[in-house]
Amino acid sequence: MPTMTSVESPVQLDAVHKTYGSGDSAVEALAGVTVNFPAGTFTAVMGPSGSGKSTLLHCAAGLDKPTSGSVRLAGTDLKGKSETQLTVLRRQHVAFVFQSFNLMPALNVAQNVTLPTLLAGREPDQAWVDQVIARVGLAQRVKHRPGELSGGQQQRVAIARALAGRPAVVFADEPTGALDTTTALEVLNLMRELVSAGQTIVMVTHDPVAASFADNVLFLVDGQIVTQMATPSVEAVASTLAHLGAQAKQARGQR
Amino acid sequence: MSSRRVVFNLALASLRYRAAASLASFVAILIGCGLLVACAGLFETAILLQAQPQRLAAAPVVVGGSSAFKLPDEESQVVPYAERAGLPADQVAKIAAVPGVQRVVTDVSFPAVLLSDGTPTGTGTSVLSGHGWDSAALGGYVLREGNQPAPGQVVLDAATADAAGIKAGSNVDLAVDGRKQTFTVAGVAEPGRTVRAPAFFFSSGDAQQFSPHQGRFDLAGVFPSEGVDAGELAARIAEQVPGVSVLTGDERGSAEFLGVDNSQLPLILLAAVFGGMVLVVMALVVSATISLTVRQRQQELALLRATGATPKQVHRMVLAETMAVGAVAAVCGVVLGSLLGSQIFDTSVSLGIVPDELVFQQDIIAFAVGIVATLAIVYTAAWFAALAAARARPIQALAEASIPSAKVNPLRRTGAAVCGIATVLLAGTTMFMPADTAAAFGGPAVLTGAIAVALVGPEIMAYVADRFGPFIRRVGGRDATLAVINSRARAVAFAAALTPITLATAVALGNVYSETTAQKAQIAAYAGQLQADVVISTGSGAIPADELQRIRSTPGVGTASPLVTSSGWIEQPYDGNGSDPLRLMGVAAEDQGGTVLATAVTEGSLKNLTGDAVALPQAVAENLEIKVGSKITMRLGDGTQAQVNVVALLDSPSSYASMVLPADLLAAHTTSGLPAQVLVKAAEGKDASDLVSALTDQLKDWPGVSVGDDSALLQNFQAGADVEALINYLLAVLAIAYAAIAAVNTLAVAVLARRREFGVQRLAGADRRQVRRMLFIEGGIVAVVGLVLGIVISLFTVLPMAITTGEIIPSGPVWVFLAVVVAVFLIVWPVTALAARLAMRRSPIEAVALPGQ
Repeated sequence: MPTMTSVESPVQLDAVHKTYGSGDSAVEALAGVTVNFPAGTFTAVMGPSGSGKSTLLHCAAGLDKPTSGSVRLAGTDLKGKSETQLTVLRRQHVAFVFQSFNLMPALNVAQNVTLPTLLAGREPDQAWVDQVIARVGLAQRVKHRPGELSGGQQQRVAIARALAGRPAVVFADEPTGALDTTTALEVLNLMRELVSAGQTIVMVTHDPVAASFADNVLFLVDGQIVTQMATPSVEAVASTLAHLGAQAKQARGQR
Repeated sequence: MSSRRVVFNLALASLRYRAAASLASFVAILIGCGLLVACAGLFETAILLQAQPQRLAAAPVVVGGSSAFKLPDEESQVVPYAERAGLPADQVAKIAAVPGVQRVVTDVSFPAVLLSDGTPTGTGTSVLSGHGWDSAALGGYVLREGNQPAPGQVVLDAATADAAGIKAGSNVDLAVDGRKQTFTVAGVAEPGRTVRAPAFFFSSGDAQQFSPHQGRFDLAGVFPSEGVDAGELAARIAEQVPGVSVLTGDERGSAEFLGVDNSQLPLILLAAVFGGMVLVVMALVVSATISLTVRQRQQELALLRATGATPKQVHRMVLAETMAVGAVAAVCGVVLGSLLGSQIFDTSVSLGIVPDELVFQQDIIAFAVGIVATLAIVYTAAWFAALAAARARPIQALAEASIPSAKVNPLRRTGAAVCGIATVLLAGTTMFMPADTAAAFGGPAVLTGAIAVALVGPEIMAYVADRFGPFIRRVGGRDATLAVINSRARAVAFAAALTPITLATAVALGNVYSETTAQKAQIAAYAGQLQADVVISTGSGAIPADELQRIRSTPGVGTASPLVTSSGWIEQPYDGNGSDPLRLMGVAAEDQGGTVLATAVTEGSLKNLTGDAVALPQAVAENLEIKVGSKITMRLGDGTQAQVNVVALLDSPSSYASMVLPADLLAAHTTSGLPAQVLVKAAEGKDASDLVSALTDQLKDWPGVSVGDDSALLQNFQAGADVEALINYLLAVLAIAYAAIAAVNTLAVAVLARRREFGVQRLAGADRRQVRRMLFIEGGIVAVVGLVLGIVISLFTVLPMAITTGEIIPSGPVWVFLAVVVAVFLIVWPVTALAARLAMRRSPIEAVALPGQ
């Protein structure tokens, strides 16, 4: 499945709002987000807890429907699409790595990795699958079930699954959150290499070290993008985060 | 590989991974299929109605009188006669005249029993064992020793002779037509094939004398000429001789064994009603189990959706899982079904619903029907229940499995309202039906009621928690507080356990008590129409006229009357209700001693009940606009039409009332031709127990006579032989069994899924005992609510039955009610205790780290 080679960004959000609940208990997770994720780039999305990072990812990937605004995925507007149509679209163009609980407990590693392809009714590219599994370092464990793997290994399988389908965009929600330092760095390096080869990756993280691997960092506060940073360094990211935090504290104090 | 194949493989992988969870579905489907196969076997038996002839086996074609009553207003519907219809002599002549007939052998049967030391050996229908020697050819009887019988002689069949050690030439005592006589044994004959019933062959002159139906034969065996096919001949006879039933092959058994034809309808009813219930209950259990597993696997299914499965693929996966389990369970169920089928059939035989000679058929057709029906219903139930799986949103993969709210969607609420109205309507209409039909309609009322509860279960639990919360808290103490909160918050999970408990209670109580109420009314109506101080019955099959004379002349006897029971119809004027024959009762006309009939006479007099007369219940007469003095046409038990005068109207009970005819008239049209019971009322001032001893003394020479007080009246009345009774009791057991499966599964899963919650509770300071106590109170709430709802729903079946039979207050054994209550608590509490123990195995800290609620 060829990745997007055109210059047009695979993911475009335009004035996206997302509100959960209704009436008194309504929560506005996204308050008007407009952003493009250019092809072949590695973007990190950061912000304090509750800033809407995960929600942004879900809406961008077509896993959730925005309350207003439009989302274009691989050139197609997602508005008004049925669940089945969204699923088919996601299958072709998107891969998602969750923070935890990524794998079907009943299937082994190899089956989990090829599952999206099989569900789409296509034959998996066995050579590429083997390569991807080897890249995440789990060639010895292909027949094992998730219950027999550690948290870090499970996460790596999830990443292998995301890559095996060669999607236009990979969305990752805190992919290294549950990993130890060494494994985390391995995974981030892998992602960097793939981006260099043309893969588009959007990652949510709150770890400045992880963010430093990205081409671009978006900072979200209260559902809106407040600032962006290109070619981030660990210190710059950390200080921006601290600054944002201090601002919020001050705003609190003034009230 | 196609995506369909992938989904199927996914389903199998899930099953292999989670085998234990499918256990409940497997057991439910296994039992359901077994029961359906059993019902299919009963149905097949009823349709084929094969009873192999024994005594008539040698005659290729057997002709009997018309076997069923064609309803005047419906061409196609026939109702079998209760008694054996006869063949008049001229019809036999017509049969003999049909081309292709080599020989016609007529047959009569009359009461003849072997006496040993004055007591009869043998009971029941084998009492009608006296035949003419001519009929020996029908069974291929061949003389093993001795000769044909001359007048005053008898030929015994080999089995009887060997068992009693009798040889040709000796004398035997037989009770023929109830009278003790001594005969010389002329010979011993061996039948061509095994015949279970004994046979006593007399000379044709003697046989004609002994036969109670003069000028008429019971059956005729037809032997075709050389080269004529029996089937063809049978068809020809049926064409040329109207009004007879012509039988060949295995159908001939229904001519030899009465009761075979009459058992067709009860068997079909049993198979249909019971089978229908099994289908419904199986569907409910399968849906409930699937809904439960879907809710449990919410996260996993949502992940599947996020990984790229469309809603339809998820739906298909859940469906495939269920069908895979269902297919295996159905095949195993076939084995169970063959056992259950013969078991239920044997029970029917022992209850007298079905004659012994009927062959139970259960072959590949029954198995196929059972499997197909099972798979079809499982597929349908699973299809609907799996829709919830398809609705799983991918985002839920990340959310903590949320607790669904207690509010049900409006569609379900409307459905529940519809079912509730249906229940009330069914209950209302059955109140105005005759008791026999009311029983058939009562069953569905509990089903609709239970479905209504199933639909709005969560809201019921929430309501109970709100309304009775303070009361429960007061009664239960500290631990009850959390129990009440949980039953409100987790209303959906509680409702899943509520449904099977309610269904079981409603079905069990409803069916058992409506049955016992109906039976009590039936017995009361029967006994209430008669009054007797002494009841004389006989084991020899008949009480002849001179014995009756002896009874009448005994000092102290006020009035004596033979008692005959049969069933028939009023043909002119006709009320359109022919499918249920009327009860007929035969008694002697009133004399100076009074009458044994207890019902008050509202018009006319029973003194005139002689000859061709009838006394009708007032309600029947009013319904058909018949007055005292008018003539009506009745069709009696053996199919004979009789023009009778209406001589009296009776104040009979509204249900199970009998038409009263003269005993002589009615007896002449029964199979045995003679009454087998005599009722005696003591004269003024005479003591009943004195009379009993006086009569016992008088009748000591008569074979097989037993003299008893009025309690003997009911012994012969087999109210319990009703097929409806069997259905109802079977249903009660079925309901409890299914409820146990469904409730145990639901409760175990629900408790185990709350591991995390218990961990949190224990971290907050509760100990294991307190958590367990909370669970017991929760279980108690579900059990009590289920019982109360079940009792209320069952009243919708029981009360109408009570009202329609005139009892008003339902009656039945108390132990059944207690047993149901105990069963419910036995279902709920032990499972909760065991599941709680498993759920709290780990330490609280470990438990809190687990996924789940």
